[in-house]
Amino acid sequence: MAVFSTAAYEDTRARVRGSVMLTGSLLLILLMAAGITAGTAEVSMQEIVDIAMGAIHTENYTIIYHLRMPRVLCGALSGANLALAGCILQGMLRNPLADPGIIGVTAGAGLAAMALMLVAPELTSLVPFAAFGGALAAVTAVFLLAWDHGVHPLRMILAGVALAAFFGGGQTALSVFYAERIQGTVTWLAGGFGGAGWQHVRMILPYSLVGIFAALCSYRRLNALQLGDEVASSLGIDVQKSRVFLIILSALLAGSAVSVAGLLGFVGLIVPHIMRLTVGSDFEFLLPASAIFGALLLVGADTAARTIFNPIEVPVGIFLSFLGAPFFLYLLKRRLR
Amino acid sequence: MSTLEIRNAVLAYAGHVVAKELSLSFVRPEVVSIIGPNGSGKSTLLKALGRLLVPTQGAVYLNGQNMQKLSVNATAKELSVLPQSAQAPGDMTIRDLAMCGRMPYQSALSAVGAEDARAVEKALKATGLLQMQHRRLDKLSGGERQRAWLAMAIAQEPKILLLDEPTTYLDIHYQLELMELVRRLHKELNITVIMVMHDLNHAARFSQRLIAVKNGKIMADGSVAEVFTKETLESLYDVSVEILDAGAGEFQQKVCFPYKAGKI
Repeated sequence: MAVFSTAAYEDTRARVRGSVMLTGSLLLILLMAAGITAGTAEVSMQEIVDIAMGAIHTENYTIIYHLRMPRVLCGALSGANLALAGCILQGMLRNPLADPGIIGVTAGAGLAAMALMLVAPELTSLVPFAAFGGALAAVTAVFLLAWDHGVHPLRMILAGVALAAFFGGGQTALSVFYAERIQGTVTWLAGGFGGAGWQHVRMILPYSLVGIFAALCSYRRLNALQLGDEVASSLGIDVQKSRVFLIILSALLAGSAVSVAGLLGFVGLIVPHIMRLTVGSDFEFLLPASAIFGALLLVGADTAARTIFNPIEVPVGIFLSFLGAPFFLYLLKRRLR
Repeated sequence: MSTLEIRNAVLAYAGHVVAKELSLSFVRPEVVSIIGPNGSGKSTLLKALGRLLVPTQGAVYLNGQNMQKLSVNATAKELSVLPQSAQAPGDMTIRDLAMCGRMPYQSALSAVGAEDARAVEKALKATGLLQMQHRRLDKLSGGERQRAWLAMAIAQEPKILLLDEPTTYLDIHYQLELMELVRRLHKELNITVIMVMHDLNHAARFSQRLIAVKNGKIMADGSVAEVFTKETLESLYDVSVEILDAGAGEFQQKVCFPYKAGKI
């Protein structure tokens, strides 16, 4: 009897995990297709398939190929990257409230992009590069501040908070000194895919491919780190080396996402958290599920944000916050009960 | 069988020297308890033996080789350490946790092999958890959870098992159960068990060798009969004790009765 019931438990767990992944993947494909179809210009599925196969002289070619396809791809890749980065950081720092902002990515990218847009508006096309550079610079700074014979999670979080405050001060200072030009930066800071094109896809794609692969390969390390430094080390994991590797990995994932999408703060926090509640804390399943649902959330939110209030386009960051925060609170409350 | 040795080691925590000139060797499978007052350096010593702390001078040798020169993975196949109050996500099952013990034998992408499944099965059986292997950790009692951690350590198939106060937070039932389990594992698997113990009577009853540590120095090291004496315990803890013979039927042992803090 006991054997029967435990086998049943194992079955349910595997079934939940399998169906979450499968549903997620199918929904993602559907949403990406919907994201390409939906909008002011009506297009048919047939036309999308034609264009994807290489046809170039259809009616809506420019809109579909140069606007919607890269936009949907940018959304999917940034979503997957942000969710994975958050997932890795939450596991590594053993802190459910960790998100890419905690390693300085958001603050660094925000300050660098803002500085470029305000001080040298003629170079605005370089904003993604500035944001990426700023993100990596901030991560390096947090890293150096937190380093003392290794990276300690608490020191890392404190260094991240301190640096975010410092960079936030920088952003405020910039907006005071360049008050007359601030208009253009606001949209970027809110986060979104308004101007996403193929150059953005090319920018994020290599980091996504390498990052997603490396992240999915790190599940055993993360599972071990989740048990605490001493147990992980007793299981043959080099704790400090793993931490350094995982921080660099999440910095690249989050940095590349922020560079094309602006400051989208919420995905990296909420998606891994929700996935942990559904598929459990085993990173073998948590990582891929987070990637899929991160992509799904951003593609869906972006499509909704630009079609629901048509012709006004709500920045997806704002849309996400208004949608995500209450849902997150609901989940927390349900869990605490 | 594996040997473990610490030679002329200086152990320090955050620049503060905890122990000097430490030398100990473990050359045969036995159950060893490290005893001593709070802050004496016994946990630090266990950490150094388990490679969780690198000696600032001297070294730890595993099978005659300097442990720092071995890979972390190679060490993990010989030696397993369970820290005090380790924590795991509550939705993990006992089997999940035991499977973690196979990590030293797996690479980044390798699937779970037949050898892993066999070792996990064996560890679950040895700790009496096979029937409830799919239970979540947050649904277990303190004693069961401690056994689940032990199952993880056993699945690692170590020759040497290091335990830091394994009976803390357990009531006397689970304490006894765990100590009996430790003794059985030592006998069945022929492994060395080195543990930091607070409960002197458990230490005396379930180990063959006692190591008394005070102020970062080894005060006594020998069989229970040699170390578990009025003189040693009184100066080790700065208390007044009496060693008594006690028991019920076949269970006869020496117990220590501390009756006053400080010496009379």
